[in-house]
Amino acid sequence: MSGAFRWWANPWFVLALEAIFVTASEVLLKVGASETKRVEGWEWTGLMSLASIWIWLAIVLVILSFLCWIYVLRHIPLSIAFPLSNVVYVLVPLSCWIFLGEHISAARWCGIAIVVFGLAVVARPVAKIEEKL
Amino acid sequence: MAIFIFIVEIASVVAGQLLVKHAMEESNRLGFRDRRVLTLFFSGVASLTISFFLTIALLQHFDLSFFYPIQGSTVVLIVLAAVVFLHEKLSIQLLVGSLLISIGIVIVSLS
Repeated sequence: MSGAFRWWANPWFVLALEAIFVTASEVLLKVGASETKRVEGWEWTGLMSLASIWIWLAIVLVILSFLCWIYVLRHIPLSIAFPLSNVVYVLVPLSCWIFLGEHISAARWCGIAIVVFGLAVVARPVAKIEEKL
Repeated sequence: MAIFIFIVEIASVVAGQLLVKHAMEESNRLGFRDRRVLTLFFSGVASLTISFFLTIALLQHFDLSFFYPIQGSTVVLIVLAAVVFLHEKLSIQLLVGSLLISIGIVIVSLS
């Protein structure tokens, strides 16, 4: 499948890009939400966060990730693309650990390892098909 | 009531993904401007939008640690729905991998 595409238009590359955009948007939302002033009575709407440039950047990334997702769905079966897109459950905790200095418990590391193993199990048959093409 | 909203939320995520995927498949054949493709696509986007707002509503009532593990189960549901409704191939690896991802998400969310 991938042989017909330039590298930047390869659906697997775009799927990876989608996951990176989602991860970056989550981290930026957290950064933006943390620096937002708390206003009594308006907290639950999250609207005060719109004052942060990080939140706007996150919104742009969310839109880009959706565009990537649409492109991915044009070329990859949903039953393969959706499980693989859950790599964000690995990337988000890792990014929070690396960039935000958040603590990751031993149990959470185990969860991350199981997700990685699951991703490998889903991706392996796909990789074999790609090799043959 | 909360259980009902949960079921509607998960159903709208699954339906939304199926509709957008089906729209993209049809767009390969009919092009993007086809009425059927646009109807499927915007129905999918509407369904995903509903799920987004239901998620916010649910988050006001439940802790993230309760909510996200249940979200994790959508992986298996979407794989099964894609097999049933879109006739995608189900392999044992896909099923085992999806289950592992779901279990991993539950552990990441709970810990």
